[in-house]
Amino acid sequence: MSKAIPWYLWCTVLAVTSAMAGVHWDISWHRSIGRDTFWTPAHIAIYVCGVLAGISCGYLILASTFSRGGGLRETSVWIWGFRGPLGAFIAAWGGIAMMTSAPFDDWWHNAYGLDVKILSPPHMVLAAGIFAVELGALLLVLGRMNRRGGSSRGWLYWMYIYLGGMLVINMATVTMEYASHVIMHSAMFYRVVMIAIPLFLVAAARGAGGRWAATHVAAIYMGFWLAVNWILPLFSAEPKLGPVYTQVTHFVPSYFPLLLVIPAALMDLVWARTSGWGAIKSGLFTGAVFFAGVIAVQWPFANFLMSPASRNWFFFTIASGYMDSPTSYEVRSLFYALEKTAGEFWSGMAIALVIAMLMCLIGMSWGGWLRKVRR
Amino acid sequence: MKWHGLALLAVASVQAHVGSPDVFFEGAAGPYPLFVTIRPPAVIPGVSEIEIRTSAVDVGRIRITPLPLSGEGAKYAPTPDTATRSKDDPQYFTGSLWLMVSGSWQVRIEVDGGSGAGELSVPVPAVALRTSEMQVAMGALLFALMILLSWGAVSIAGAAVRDAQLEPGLEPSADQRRRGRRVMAGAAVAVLVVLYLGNAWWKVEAGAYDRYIYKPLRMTAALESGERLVLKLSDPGWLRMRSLDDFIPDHTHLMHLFMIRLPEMERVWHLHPTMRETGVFVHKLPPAPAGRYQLYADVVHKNGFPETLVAEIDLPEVTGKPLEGDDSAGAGPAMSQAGNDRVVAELSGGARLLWDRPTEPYRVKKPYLFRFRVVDADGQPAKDLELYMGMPGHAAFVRRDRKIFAHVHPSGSVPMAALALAQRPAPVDPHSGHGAAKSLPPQVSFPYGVPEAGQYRLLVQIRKAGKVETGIFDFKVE
Repeated sequence: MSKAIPWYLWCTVLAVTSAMAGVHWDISWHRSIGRDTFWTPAHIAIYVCGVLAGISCGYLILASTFSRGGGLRETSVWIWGFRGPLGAFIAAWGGIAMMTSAPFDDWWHNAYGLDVKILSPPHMVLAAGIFAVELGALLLVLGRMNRRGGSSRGWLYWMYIYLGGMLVINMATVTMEYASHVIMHSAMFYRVVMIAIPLFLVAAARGAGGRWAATHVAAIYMGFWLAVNWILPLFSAEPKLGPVYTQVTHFVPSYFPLLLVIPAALMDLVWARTSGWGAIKSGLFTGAVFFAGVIAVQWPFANFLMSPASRNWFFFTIASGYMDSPTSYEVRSLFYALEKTAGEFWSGMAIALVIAMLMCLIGMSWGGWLRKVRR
Repeated sequence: MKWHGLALLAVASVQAHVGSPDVFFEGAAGPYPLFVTIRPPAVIPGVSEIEIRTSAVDVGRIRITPLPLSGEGAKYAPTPDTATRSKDDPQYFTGSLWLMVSGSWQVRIEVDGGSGAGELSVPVPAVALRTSEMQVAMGALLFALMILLSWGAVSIAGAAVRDAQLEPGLEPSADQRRRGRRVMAGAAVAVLVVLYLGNAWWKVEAGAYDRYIYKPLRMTAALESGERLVLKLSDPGWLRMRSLDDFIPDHTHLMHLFMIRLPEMERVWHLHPTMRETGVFVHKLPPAPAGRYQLYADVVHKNGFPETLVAEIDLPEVTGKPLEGDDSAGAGPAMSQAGNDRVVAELSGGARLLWDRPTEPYRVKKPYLFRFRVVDADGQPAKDLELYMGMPGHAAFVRRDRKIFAHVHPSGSVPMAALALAQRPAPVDPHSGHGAAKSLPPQVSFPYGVPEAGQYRLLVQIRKAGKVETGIFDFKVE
């Protein structure tokens, strides 16, 4: 069966996996060890993504441009005199963006210090690059999947779902600074989730077209996130920066993933029963369902994450970074209200609902476009 | 944001000396004499470089650890780094440590060897000093990549609409090509918006960092009633944690003021103003000729942060009052007429201060021990040296343009008040060990390295037979 799927697709899947594992490893590195260099294994894993994407997409573009046989040229798009699958160009763009971020980030450190936060301009260039590699890989698989059915479509479907899950992971990672359970009773948390997640979850699911596609994508997101963050604490680490408010002996996991499978499953159920609805009505309704689903699951789950029952290796809340002060809300398992009044909270939640509806509308439209991609 | 664990920690203040950020320290970790040089980063968070030379031959391992000088964080040290022993010089060790926030840090040095274990902590003030400009080559590279990525994104958007949904082998229709061009136009606008927002974000980040760059306390000087020097301190706005009412005594004085006559620096005073009210220091001046004076005032905040405040003042002739207490004065040749090869300073009663100067020229940033001997009129080593404010000597390095100034002690460029905080447990001795000696040897040395090339004046003060003597020397660093 694997012979039916060319090596460059596997190569891009490996690239994406390496990047996402590397990013989580790097975040854990900064919470466990603190200090790093360009040549840490986590950084290498991230940049291997760009290399693998460059190899696979470079081959595809050159082969499509200069080869007259094999069918590559017939399934390619045209850019700057080169030919190749659309996904190859997007992934190549991502590889260049990732490589651009390296000197940019190095200069940033020299100019403004060794930042240890996720949201900085050079980090966003890197995140955009990884995102583009993921999107490119997804389109490479999607084009092939849409062109053929038969025995290999099953594998292609799961590759596609896996890559869709990686897109969601990327967005969830970028917004991780707003994903702590201590703010899960604040409207800001829901606004950030609605900005980051439904657009890509819905688009990927609708692009796949499966009965439970959204649930599958969400399951990949949760499964990968859990696997990485269950594996990391198996390895020892010790802080190299101080003050060390919390003793760390092993790599510290990040936050427990969002329980996306449930709102995703709700969306799948809604789509199965509203297939005759217009695009706008369906999109807006999907957004409302997703928003309600996330609140219904995440709000009580936040209470659980605050409880002693969650303080174990499975739910991560037992782990704190070395810099986490004993007085911090996380270590004390206390909610932090980002909105100071009920009015601020409810207006924030209303905005989150609107964002969810718009993102789902756009996501469904984009998903519909994805289903027609052939090249 | 304090609710999550991934963001930066809070920050605190200040910087010692003027234009001389490197820390030079000579001390002992138990039985092991060490000469420590710490070069703090110019940006924070950043990497400090540590150099340690020991005269002991039985040092087995040196471990170094960065941690805050005071406060709760000082109790929670990270795992130490092992300093790297030089292959060419087994008594020379180096290492690198990250300093994560502006403020008062210490580097804890633990030594193991044939004579057992020893420990030493060296205070390090760390502040952001600058924002690097982007080099032309780097700017050109990133600009070219930005153009490539921007145009690439626009072209990909066009191809996505024009070609991506075509069945294999088909060519795009004229309508699809038109749609592709329209989407490219829209994508170009979107890319421009992204670049604009990215640039705006960059400006916000850079502006936030600019506010983080060290801004020393301001000081203005005025003369009251013809003899009272009034120094008013003000905060130009930097970090909110800095205060004007938290100074701690540094070898018994809240402020050490060096007053140097301009332009020839031939007259110097080392005075100790007292605080009249928050942010206002006063001092009755000793007799001084009319002229313009440079003022360098050293203070130390309660968390061990030293600051050197700078001002100038035009004085009429001051009749003043005689020197008293720890105040002292000195005189030497005019700087423009003094030679850089002069190694002898005449003291009272025919005694002399001799500079044991190395034969090779001084080099920028290289750590040296500036060594001096005191001999009596008969040429014999002086036997009547005494502690001056608890120390065998004080030295001040001033570059001719006055943009570099450092007040150094025999232990180095670290303020004694900060050193006291670094010791575990904190001692009651305000001189942090300097005052322990009963009878002083006739030599005194100062660990220091000049940060930049230039013409320097070196003021050396010792107390001999109850009188503070000042030797003035000059040297040039190419």
